[in-house]
Amino acid sequence: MEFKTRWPKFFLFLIIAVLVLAGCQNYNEETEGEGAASPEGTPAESNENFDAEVFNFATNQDIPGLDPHGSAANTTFRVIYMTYDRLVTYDGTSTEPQPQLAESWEVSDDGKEYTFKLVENAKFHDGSPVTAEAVQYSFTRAINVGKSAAGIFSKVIDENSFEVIDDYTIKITLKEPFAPFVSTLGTAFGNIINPALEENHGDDLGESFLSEEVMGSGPYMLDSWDRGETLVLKANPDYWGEAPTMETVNIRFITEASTARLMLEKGEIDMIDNTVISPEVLGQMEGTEGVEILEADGYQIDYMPMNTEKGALADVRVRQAIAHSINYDALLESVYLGKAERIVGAVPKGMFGFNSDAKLYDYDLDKAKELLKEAGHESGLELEIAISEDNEVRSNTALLLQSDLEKVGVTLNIKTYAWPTFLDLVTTGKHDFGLVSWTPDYPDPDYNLWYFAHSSSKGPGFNLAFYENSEIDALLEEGRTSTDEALRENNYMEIQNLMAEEVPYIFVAQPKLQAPLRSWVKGYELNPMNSWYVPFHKITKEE
Amino acid sequence: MDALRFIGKRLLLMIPILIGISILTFAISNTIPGDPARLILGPKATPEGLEALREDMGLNDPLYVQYGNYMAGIFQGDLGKSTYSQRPVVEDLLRYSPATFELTMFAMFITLVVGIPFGVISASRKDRIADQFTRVFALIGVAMPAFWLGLLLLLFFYLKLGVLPGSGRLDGGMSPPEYITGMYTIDALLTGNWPVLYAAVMHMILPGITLAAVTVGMITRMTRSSMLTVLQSDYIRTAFAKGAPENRVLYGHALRNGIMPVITLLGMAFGHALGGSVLVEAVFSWPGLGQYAVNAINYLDFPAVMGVTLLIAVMFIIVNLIVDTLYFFIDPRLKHN
Repeated sequence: MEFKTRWPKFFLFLIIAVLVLAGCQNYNEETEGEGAASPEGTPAESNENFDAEVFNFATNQDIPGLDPHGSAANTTFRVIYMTYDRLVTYDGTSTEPQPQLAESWEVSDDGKEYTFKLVENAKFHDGSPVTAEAVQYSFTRAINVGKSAAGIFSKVIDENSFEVIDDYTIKITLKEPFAPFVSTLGTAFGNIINPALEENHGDDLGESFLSEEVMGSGPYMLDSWDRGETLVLKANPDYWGEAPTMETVNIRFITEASTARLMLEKGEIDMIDNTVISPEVLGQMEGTEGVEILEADGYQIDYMPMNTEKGALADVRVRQAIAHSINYDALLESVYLGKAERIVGAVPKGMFGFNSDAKLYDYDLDKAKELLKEAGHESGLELEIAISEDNEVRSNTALLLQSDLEKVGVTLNIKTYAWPTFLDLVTTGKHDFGLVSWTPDYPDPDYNLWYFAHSSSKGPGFNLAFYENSEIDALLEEGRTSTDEALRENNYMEIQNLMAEEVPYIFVAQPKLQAPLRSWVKGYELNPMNSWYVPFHKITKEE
Repeated sequence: MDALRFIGKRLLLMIPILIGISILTFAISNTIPGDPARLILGPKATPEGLEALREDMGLNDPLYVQYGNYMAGIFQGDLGKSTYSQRPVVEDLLRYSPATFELTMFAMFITLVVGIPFGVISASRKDRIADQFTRVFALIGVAMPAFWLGLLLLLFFYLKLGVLPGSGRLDGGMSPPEYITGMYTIDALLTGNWPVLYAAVMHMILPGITLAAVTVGMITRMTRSSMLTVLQSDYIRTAFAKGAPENRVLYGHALRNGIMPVITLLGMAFGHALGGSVLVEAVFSWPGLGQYAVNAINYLDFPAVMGVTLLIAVMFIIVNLIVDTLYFFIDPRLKHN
C-alpha cells in the first residue's frame, strides 16, 4: 500500500532525475569527442561532431532497392554510383563521358559498332576481375529485367549485340546508329554487375536478391542498411582506381526538412540532398555559422506542358497568349529568389544543341489579350493547372501564374494531387496545364526533345503536351541516327525554333543547383546533370 | 469463466471486422487513380515493359479477382510482396512495426504516469492553482499540433541545449542490438547492451513526449471529470471524516471507482497514438510503420498499404480487448453479471 500511493511521485522523480542527469553533459559529448581527434593528432575540433573519416549525408527519400537495372529512384542511383562502376563516367562538373572501366573505345564509320577496351586491373568486391563477359552479362540482364534500364537500352541493343573479342575487349553492335550511345553508358543504368549474381538468380533474375545486396566493383561496399534509417557504405580497401577519401559514408533518412536543417546546423549532418530544402529556406540558411550553400549550374528544367489535344489549348493562339501573359522576371525573383534563369526551350543552357536565338515571349498583356480575342475567348476562359503536392516551388509558381493569367481574363484553378494521381492524370491527358521538373540522364538534346516532342512519346512517353509535329518527328529521327555532329546540332536548333513558335510547353526556369553543406566539406562538385551523383570517394573534410 | 467466454467471443468478432476493413481498404486504395507499374518503372519505361509488369502484378484482373487472390494469400500467412521494396510485406512489417510499437508503448507509459496523477491532482484541488495549471497544460497538449510541438522540442532540447538527440532510434554509427523483439530498448535490456539501451531511451524521449502530449491531455481531462463526480460521493466524505490520509483516499478509494471511463479512453488513446505516430515519425525520422505507410501510399504499393492497415487494426482491436478484459479485474461487479 505504501508503494502504491507513492508510485506517481516516484516515477515523476525518476523522469526528472534522468533529464537532469542527461543535462549534466551534452548528449554524446564524450563518445564523439574521442572520435573527433583526427589521425594526424590535430587538437580536438571546435565542433564535437566533426569526424574527418565519416561523411553523414541526409536525404528525405527512402531507397526502394539497390538493383541498378530495376530502380528508377534517384536515391538508389546515389548509392549504386558509388558501389558499381560503369564503362564511362561523368567526372566533376563535366558532362563529357570520361573513361572508367573502358579505357578507350572506337566507333565504326557507320556509327553502329562500338569496340571497348577495358582496364585490366578492375576487380569486383569479391576479387574476381571485371571482364568483357561481365559487360555482356550486365547489359543482357538490364534488357531482360525489362524495367528502368531496359527503357534506355532495349531501343538500340539486344542479346545478340555483343561480341566478346578477348577478356578485356568487347564489341557492341547497335540495331541502328544511336549518336548518344556512349553517353547512355555513363548513366546509373549502365552499371556493370558481377556475373556471379547468376547463382542468386532465383525466379526473378536476382531482382529481389540485388535489391538488398551490392555486386559491383565501385569505390564503396555496402556495410549495412537499416531500412528507413541509415545506409552505411565502407571504403573498398582494394579499389582498383584511386583510393576513396571517405572511410565511411552514412546515408541517413531524415524525412522532415526542418529536422535535417537543425542537424546540419549542429554538424551532425555534413550535407543535405539538394532537392530537400526549398529556395526560401535556403535563403534563410545563408549566413548560418559553419554552413554553406554550394551553388552550381544545373541541367534541370522546370516547365509547364499545355495539353495541345484538349479544349482551348489546342489553339496555338491561346498558348501564345498564355506565354505572353506570364511575368517571368517576377516569377524568377519571387519563387526562385533569383537562383534560376529563364530558358527558351527543352534543351538546357550549357548543353550541346542549346539554341540561344529561339524566340522568347515577352511579358505583354496587350498582345496576350489580342491573341485571346482572335481565338474567340474575349469573354474569358477557365483552365486548370495540375501540380503534385509537397513542392513549394511548384505551388508558388502556380499561384503566381494564377494571378498573372487573371489579368488577361483567364481563370486558373489550381488542383493539387498526390504524386501517383498526378502522374496518372498528366500521362493520360486529363490535364490542361501541369508543372514538372526534369533532368536529363545523359547530356544530349535527343534525350529531352524525344521525350517532350516526338509523337510516339505522347502521354506515357512523357510528351505531356500531347504535341505532334511531323516535321519535328523527322528531324528527331534523323538526329538520333546520324553521326554528323553539325547536322545534328542544326536539327536540334530547328526543333527548338519550331517549338518556340507552337509553344506546346512553357519552360519556366532552369534553376541553379543548391546543396546545403558544412563549410568543412571540401572538393565537392555538383554535376549539372547528375546532382544525385555525389562523389563521396573524392570529398574530404577539413576544419 | 465469464471472462474467458467474453474474450473468446470478442476474438471471433475480430474476423468479420478484419474482413470488413480489408474490403474497405482494398476498395479505397484501388480507386485512387494511378498506375503502380508506372511508378515502379519511372518515366523511362517502355509501353511493352509496363504492360508486362501489369500482367505480372495481376493488375489486369478484375478487382474482385485481385481481392480474392489477396485474401487467399492472407490465410496462408502471405501478405504479398511489396512493390516498393521488392520484399515480402510480412518481412517489412516485422522490420518496421516494432519501432512504432515501442514508441507508442513509451508514449502510453508517459500518458499513464503523467495523465492520471495530473487528473487526480486537478480534481482534488478543483479551481485552485494546481487545477488551473493542469487544465491549461492538458488543453495545450490536446490542442497543439504534434508536428509543431515536435519541432519546438527539437529546437530547444536538441539544437539549443544539446541534451537530447534529434533523430532516428540510435546514434549515427551505432549498430542495433540483436533482433529479438525488434524493440531496441527491450532487446538491449535482454542482451545486456547498456550503451545501446541508453541511446535507445534517449532517442525515445522527445518523440515519446510529442506523441504523448495529446493523450496525456485526453487522460488528464477524463480523470479529472470522472474524479470530480466520485469525490462527491458519500463514502469519500466518510473516508475523509474518519481521518484517512488524503493520498490514500484519492488513489486508494476514489481513483479505483473513477478510473473506469479512463480505462475505456486508454484504448482509444492507444489508437490515437498509433495514428499520430505518422506525423511524429516524420519529424523525428523514426523508421516505423508510419514512414513505411507513407512510402507505400506514394508508390501505390497496395500490398503494403493493406498490410499496414490490417496490422494496425489488429493491434487496435487487441488493445481494446485487453482494456475491456481489465474491467473484470477492476470492477468485481462485472464478474457477477
